[in-house]
Amino acid sequence: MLRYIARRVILTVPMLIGMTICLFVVFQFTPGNPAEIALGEIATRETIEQLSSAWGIDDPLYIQIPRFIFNAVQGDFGLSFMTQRPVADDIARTFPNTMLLALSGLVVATLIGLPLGVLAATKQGTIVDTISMVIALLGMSVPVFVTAMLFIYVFAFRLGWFPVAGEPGLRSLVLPAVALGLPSAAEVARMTRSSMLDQLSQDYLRTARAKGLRPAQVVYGHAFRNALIPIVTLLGLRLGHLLAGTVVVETIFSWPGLGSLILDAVLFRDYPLIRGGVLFIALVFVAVNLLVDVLYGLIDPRIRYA
Amino acid sequence: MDARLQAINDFLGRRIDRREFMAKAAALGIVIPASGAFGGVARSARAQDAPVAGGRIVIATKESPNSMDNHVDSAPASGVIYDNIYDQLAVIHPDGSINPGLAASWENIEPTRWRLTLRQGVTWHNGDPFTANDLKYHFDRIFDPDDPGRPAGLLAPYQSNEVVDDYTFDIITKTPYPLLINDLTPRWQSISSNQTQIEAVGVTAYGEHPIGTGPFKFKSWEIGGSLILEANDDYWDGRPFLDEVEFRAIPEDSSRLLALESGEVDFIYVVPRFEVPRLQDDDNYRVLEAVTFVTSYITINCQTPPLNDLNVRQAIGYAIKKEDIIAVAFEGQALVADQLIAPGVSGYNADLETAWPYDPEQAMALLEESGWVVGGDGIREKDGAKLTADFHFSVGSRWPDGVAEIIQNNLRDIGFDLVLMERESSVISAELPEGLIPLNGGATGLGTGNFGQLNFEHFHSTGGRSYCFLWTVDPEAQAELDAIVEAATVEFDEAKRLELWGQVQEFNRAQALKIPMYHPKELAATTTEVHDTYLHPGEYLRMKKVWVSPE
Repeated sequence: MLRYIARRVILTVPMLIGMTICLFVVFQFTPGNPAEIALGEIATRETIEQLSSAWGIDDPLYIQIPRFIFNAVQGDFGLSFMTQRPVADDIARTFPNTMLLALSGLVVATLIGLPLGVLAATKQGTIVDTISMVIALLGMSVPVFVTAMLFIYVFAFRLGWFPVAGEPGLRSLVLPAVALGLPSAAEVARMTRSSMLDQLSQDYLRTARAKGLRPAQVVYGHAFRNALIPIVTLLGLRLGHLLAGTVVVETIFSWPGLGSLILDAVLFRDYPLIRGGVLFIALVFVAVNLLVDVLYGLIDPRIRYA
Repeated sequence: MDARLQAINDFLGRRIDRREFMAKAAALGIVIPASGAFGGVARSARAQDAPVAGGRIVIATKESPNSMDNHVDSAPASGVIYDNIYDQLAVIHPDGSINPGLAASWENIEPTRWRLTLRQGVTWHNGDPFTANDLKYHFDRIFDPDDPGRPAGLLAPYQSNEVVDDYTFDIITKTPYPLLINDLTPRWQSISSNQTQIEAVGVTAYGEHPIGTGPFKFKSWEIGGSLILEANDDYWDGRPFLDEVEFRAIPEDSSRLLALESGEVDFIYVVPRFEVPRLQDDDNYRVLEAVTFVTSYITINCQTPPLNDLNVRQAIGYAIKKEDIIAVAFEGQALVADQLIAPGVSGYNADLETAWPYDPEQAMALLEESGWVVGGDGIREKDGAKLTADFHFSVGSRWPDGVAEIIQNNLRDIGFDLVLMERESSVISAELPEGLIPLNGGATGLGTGNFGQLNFEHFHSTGGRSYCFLWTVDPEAQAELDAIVEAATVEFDEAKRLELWGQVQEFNRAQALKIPMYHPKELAATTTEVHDTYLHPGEYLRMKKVWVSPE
């Protein structure tokens, strides 16, 4: 297992270098000069060139790329064009907010989706099954921004249970976490139902019932545990999607996260911030997928990695 | 022009005073909003009450600032902070007049040298006295070739500076430049560099720990969250009434409005237009309006067929019904523009008749004169070519949803097929100087530019926003225009300068290079507990005179 993990970590390095090269190349072909955007249309050509030189964006790629990699391995991703703050600082400040939001959304998805899916599977073909899957369908179908605005209007504005936007504190986390987690809850419910149904039809469970195990022991002690593999895979993938997809929720709820920061960076052509943010999210993706693979081994002892 | 619009424009252009305007409004049936505003200044219903010191307000803005150092950031969201923690050398009032700020007076002692006499008794928030040496540090920092500041891009005529004594400072320009002081009034030219603080915290951290001379000083900032300013007790123009001002970013319009209505914030800056009537009918809130110095316009690229035909360019001007744009896309929250420069901005000439009236018959007559004949599909043709052009624009506060579609419909009525291309503004900005954009929806205003150079930027062949390429189809006409612009740029006699700028506007009218469209209104809303709130046509947001009812 440790050798497997080490191999995965080592393979991350060429992946990040490749992404870095791609980002630099893409920036070369993207219209819009960051210095010109920062200085405005009426800035003289001389001033634009001075700022471009100060930012190093007019250097050739064979100088820019090695310089960036050399600095990045030391933790220096450069200064943001927009704020002139270290990119690492901006990411360190915003990523925990995004991670907190994404994890909270995942918790919501799990707390709602898993029981719903198990219930639907154990009551297959009944009205409970139908209602559960309709709820799941609604959750997947309604766009997250609609849910978000509805939550704000009902629970924040009308009922006053939560702040509308922009207030610090964990109370501000509830509505965005639920809005973000609901579509994922629907997916988790459907996957759980499907996986559980597959397990519930297996011979070993018939044997377990024949041996006199209670239904709860059969469902939760055996079937559910074996159904977890695809569910864990889905949860891992969903965390990645949640991390990347928080920008809409962050904007509506004024949640100061990495998603909205990168969006602003793209509009501003803030190359250092875009690079730092994208590479960081890629790293997180890799880490999450590695964690999922390790969890497989814990859940199912038959799974071993070379 | 409609009599009511004429009356409104006359009032905003200061050709008639408020009393005369109110009389005309009553006669013409112009409804004055309950806020008492109709461009310029909004006064609270309780303005007659004496202001009360103390209290705090929470202001929700659309975006959060990136930095509090104007050397590094020129975003509007940061600008509202600069309005309150910094001062400018000169201050523009809503009527366009330039008044002393940190500079008590100024004089053009040589064609390329302006002498500023600084206000005495001003201190920075850290207690440092404000002197000419501070200005030297500030301008040297901005114009450092190794790290030019954002204000450098907006002060092209600047060449160097000189400290004469503690309270006398000279700015030397590259060429004679009569409007230097005008160019020093925008918030981007705020005097923001305190040497003591920069050396103490470092340049990078200064944006989070600024020191200014303004009515409020920085207290705390949770980046991405609340930014809190507190009153400067030693402000040279008197302590502000408020103890604290908190800025909070709520990007989503609906959320921002709900935050006001739930009581979480006291003031929202930028109100969705469709919400204005509802808020105006609600006695708990006060809507503030101000017609801005911004002018939205269409730039025509003369080198791109069929726009190289003057009759086609003129036809575009006559075909667009601006009143419909204002009524539908702006819900009445804008004013028809008759010139590229807005009333109150240097270069605006109230005596000119340079607007394109809505006259589709005239538009069609011009097209037929040029040989454009209506085809079977309703689109005009000539020599096998269709009368069509691409219109590039970015949707935003100055070109909201619907404007481009209305223009498209208007042009279709005269047989012109306008192809709409909605694109990101930075992409359009990159392509405009290359001549790749046939028609562009742009906007100009105090927040993005400066006064002195607006006419130069737009009409001189080397101007940063000309984009018309007139020289490609009529080099002699461009040379003639350049000569007028150059003469106006260095003319120190205000009357002569205004006359010359007037010639530029008339030239534009004759050549149809830029079609002025409208001046958008700026909208904000407060609770009725907030008083003497103030919307400036230059889009400043100054809290110096604001006060709140005691609890």
